[in-house]
Order: sequence, then C-alpha cells, then structure tokens
Amino acid sequence: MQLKNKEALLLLAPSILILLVTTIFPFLYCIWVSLNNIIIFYPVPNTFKGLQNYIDSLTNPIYGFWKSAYTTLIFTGSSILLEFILGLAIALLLNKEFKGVGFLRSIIVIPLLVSPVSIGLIFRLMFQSGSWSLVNYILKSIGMSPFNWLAERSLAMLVLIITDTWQWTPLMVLIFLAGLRMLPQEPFDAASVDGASSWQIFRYLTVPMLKEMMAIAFLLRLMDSLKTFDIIYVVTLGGPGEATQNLNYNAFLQSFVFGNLSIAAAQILMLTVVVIIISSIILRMVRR
Amino acid sequence: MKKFNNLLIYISAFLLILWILTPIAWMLLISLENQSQIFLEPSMEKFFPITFENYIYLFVGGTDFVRTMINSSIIATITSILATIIGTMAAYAIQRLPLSPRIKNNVFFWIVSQRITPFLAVIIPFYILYSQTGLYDTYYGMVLAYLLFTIPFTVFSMVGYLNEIPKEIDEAALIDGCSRIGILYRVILPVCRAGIVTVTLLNFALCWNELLMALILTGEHARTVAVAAALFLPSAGRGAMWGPAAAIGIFFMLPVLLLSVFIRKNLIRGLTMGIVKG
Repeated sequence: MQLKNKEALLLLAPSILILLVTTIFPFLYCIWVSLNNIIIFYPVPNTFKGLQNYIDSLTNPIYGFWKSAYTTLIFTGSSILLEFILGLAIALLLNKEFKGVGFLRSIIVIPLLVSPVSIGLIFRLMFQSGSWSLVNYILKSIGMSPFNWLAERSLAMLVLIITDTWQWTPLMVLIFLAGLRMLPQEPFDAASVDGASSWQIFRYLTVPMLKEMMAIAFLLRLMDSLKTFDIIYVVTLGGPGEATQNLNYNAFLQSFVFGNLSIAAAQILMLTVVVIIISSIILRMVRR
Repeated sequence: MKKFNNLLIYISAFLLILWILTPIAWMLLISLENQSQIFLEPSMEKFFPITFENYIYLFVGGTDFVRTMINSSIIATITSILATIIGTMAAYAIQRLPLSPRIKNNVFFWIVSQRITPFLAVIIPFYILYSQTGLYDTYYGMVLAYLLFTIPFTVFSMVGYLNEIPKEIDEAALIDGCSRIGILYRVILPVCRAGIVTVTLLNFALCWNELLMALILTGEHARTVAVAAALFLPSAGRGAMWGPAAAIGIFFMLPVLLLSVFIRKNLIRGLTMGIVKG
C-alpha cells in the first residue's frame, strides 16, 4: 500500500507542482495585488489599500464595473439563448436520416476549429459599413438600407452576438446530438402509436429526457462566454465608446491599458467568485 | 405531407451549409483580391482575376508574420507534448491507483476547475513576476503559462479514455511484475494511442489559437501569430489593409483545420471534453 501511494505521488507530482505554480500561487498573489495599489507604466509608491479597490470598483463609475457587468449580461445572455435554441433545432435536424446528413454532421464542427482571432477578422470584414461588405450588400439587394454596423452601440453588440453564435452553436449541436442518440426508442414509438403530435413528442418526451445534456451544454458555454475576450478585441475593440466591453474586457483595459493592476485584480476576482457560485448552483440542480 | 416535410428538411440543410461556409468563403475570396477589387460590390470584376499578392505580401512585405508563425509553432509544440505527458500521468494516477476516493475527487476537481477561472486572474500576477524574473517575452514563460489550461484539458480527456480500457490489462501486467510506471508506458500508451494523439493535437490547437495571454506576456521577441493577426489591422491603420488581413485570417486558421483531418474520428469527443463519445 505504501509503495502504491508513492507511485501515485510520482505520477501526480508534475501536474500538481505545475498547477500549484500556475494556479494556487497566482490566485493568492492576485488577492494580494487586489489589496494593494500596484500601477504599471508610471511610478506610484505602493500602499496597502485593503478592500478599497473592491469598494471603488463597486461605487465609482470611472472603473466601469457595473456598466460592463450589464454589457456582460446582455452579451452572454442573448448569445447563449440564441445558441441554445439554434443548437437544439439543428441537432433535431441532424438527428434525422436523409441524403447528405453525414456531410452536414462533418462540416458542423468547422466553426469550433477556426481560431477566434480569424473568426473576429471574418465578421469584422463582413460587417463593414460600405456597400462592398457582404451583409450590407445583401441588405441592399433585398431593398433595405445599409447600416454602419460597428459604429452604433446596439448594432456592434448585435454583430458580436452573431459572431459568438456562429462559433459556438456547433458545440451545443454536438452535445444535444449525442443526447438525442442516447435516448431509448420505445417511448417515442409508443407515443406515435398513441397519436401524439410531433410538438407533443418534443415537449413531453425529448425535452425532459435531454434535461441533463442541456444543463451541461449551458454550463460549458456560460463558463467560457463570461471570459470572452478575443472576438471583442478583434471585432469592436470594446467600442463604440464602451458599448461592447464585458467584465473581462474591462478588467483587461483597467490593467494593461490604463495600468491599474489592483483595480483589475479586484474586479476579476469578483467575477471569478460569481462564476463559481453560478456553476455550483447549476451543478447542484443537475444532480438533483 | 411527407413530401412537404422532406422539402423543409432540405431547405434547412441548405441554409445551414450557407450559414457555416459563407463567412469563411467570403474571407477566402477577399484574400484573393487586390486593393481596388475589395471595395467593389460583388460582380465578375470583383472576383476575377484572382491574385496572390496578399499572401506574398505576408511573407516578403516586411511583416513579422513568418517570425511569429515560427514562435507559435515552437511554443505550441513544446507545450502540447509536455502537457500530454504530464497530464496523462496524472490522469492514470487518478483513474487507476488505489487512492482514497476523497483525495482523487478533490484533485480531479481542482485540476478541472481551472477551466472556470478567467485567465486575467493568472495573467496579472504572472505579468508582475515575469517582468521581475526575466520570463517576460520568452518561450519558457509562454510554455509555463499555457500549461495552465492544457494540463487540465489533458487530464479531463485522458481520464475519459482510460475509463474505457479494462483494468484487467493492468492487473495482468502487475502480476507479471511490471511497475505502474512501466504499465503506463508499455501497456496503456500503445492501447490509448488514438486518444493520446487527439489530445496532443487539440492541445496544440488550444495554444495556437490563444490570444489574451500571448498579448500580455510577450513583446517583440516571442510574439505569437495570434497576437500578430489581432494587432495587424489596428497597427496598419487606415482600414485599407483588408486584403492582407484576410490572408492572415485564412493562413492562421489553416494549420488547425489541417490537423483536425488526422483526428477526424476522435475530434467530436475531444472538442466536447469527452462529454460526447463520438
């Protein structure tokens, strides 16, 4: 027994060592930074500020906390909702057997493999203001007037939501599709023999049986969506104004653009705590 | 009714293909146009004749594209190999060794919960430490930072793969006098080869695509291609560099798309962190 534990230690040690260096230690250090006044780019004597950075973040609008929290809510809420609905619809489609479904199932993963930076470039390109951009050209040819997409607050947000939806809907599809395939066939046969409509079958059989997969998909997307940075940086740079800065992007601005590491550390720690709380609530609901 | 349903299916399938392929095709077309073609409305003159000048510009136009490609390849290769070795060892220990379940679960959840933490919570301390220790803007620094998310990914995926290998194989080898580490290398590794290759390549993709850490923790020397791609438009200014920007976008996504062809069978499972057994 002793020997076996020694072997376990030997096998686990490198991971644990590296994760100590890359997680626990930086996390503690981050807490320390958030309690001090560490500013880069120009020299300021460091002073211990205690919880002042947290209080400032929550009360002083100059640090953009609540505004970016609102932006996060809009961005994450609508993109996940959209991905969820589209993902379910596409999964139901791909679960049918028809000619060419194999091709569809194999190209559906492409958006997940394209780098977010490339995706950002693609959508920034498609939503340019001139009539040479694809989206405005389509709008023009169906008789609508073109938009200056990235210069208007709500439109820029819409572009980001579309970008995120394009990239991440396939993840929902893959998870739902796997869920659909694991469902037993008998209840469905029984239901159609009894004359249930396809909406009734969907509402009273498919949805309840997929509940666990839905929670997993939702949780995975939520954790990643709250951390979104790449597409915002490439498509809108947080603009126009501060219209598309989510909490993560705002913390990036506060720290590595404005130089106030301590404020950013306080904000990002608050975000982390919120994510952990939400995740554990969802996990508890799933297990029940 | 049946006919109508079939029509509906094919229309939605067609829309889906358009939705997935149009954005990429559009950027590919733009990348093959010259400066004046780009600002034309779609027409024959816009798309023909095609030109490769944007791609040529990337390689000989004085951009740091080639250098950052090399940097990214080095960093992503070293990280993915290291993470796969270290992570597989940990996954084996968690999955197979007779530790108490409480320890196992705690270690497992600790390792996997790294996925939740926003990177900035790690980058801020790393930035301060790296500036003081000289790790800033080096390959070592980037590899260390990237191990943060590749190791948890490896552990999570490999625990799933090991779960499917019958424990009797281990026990047979144990009776023959093989040590646990010997089993891992002589028995598990060959059986799990497909899984290990998939995880390694996906680790490579994760590193190749990562932007935020590289943006902050590298400068001129170790800059990765993700950073170069993201900074290209802002630093070129004037918004007039769309051709080369589109070429970067295409070139940058190519390696990962090509790699994914090799692991087609295990791809879906890897992308969903083992939730979906493809």
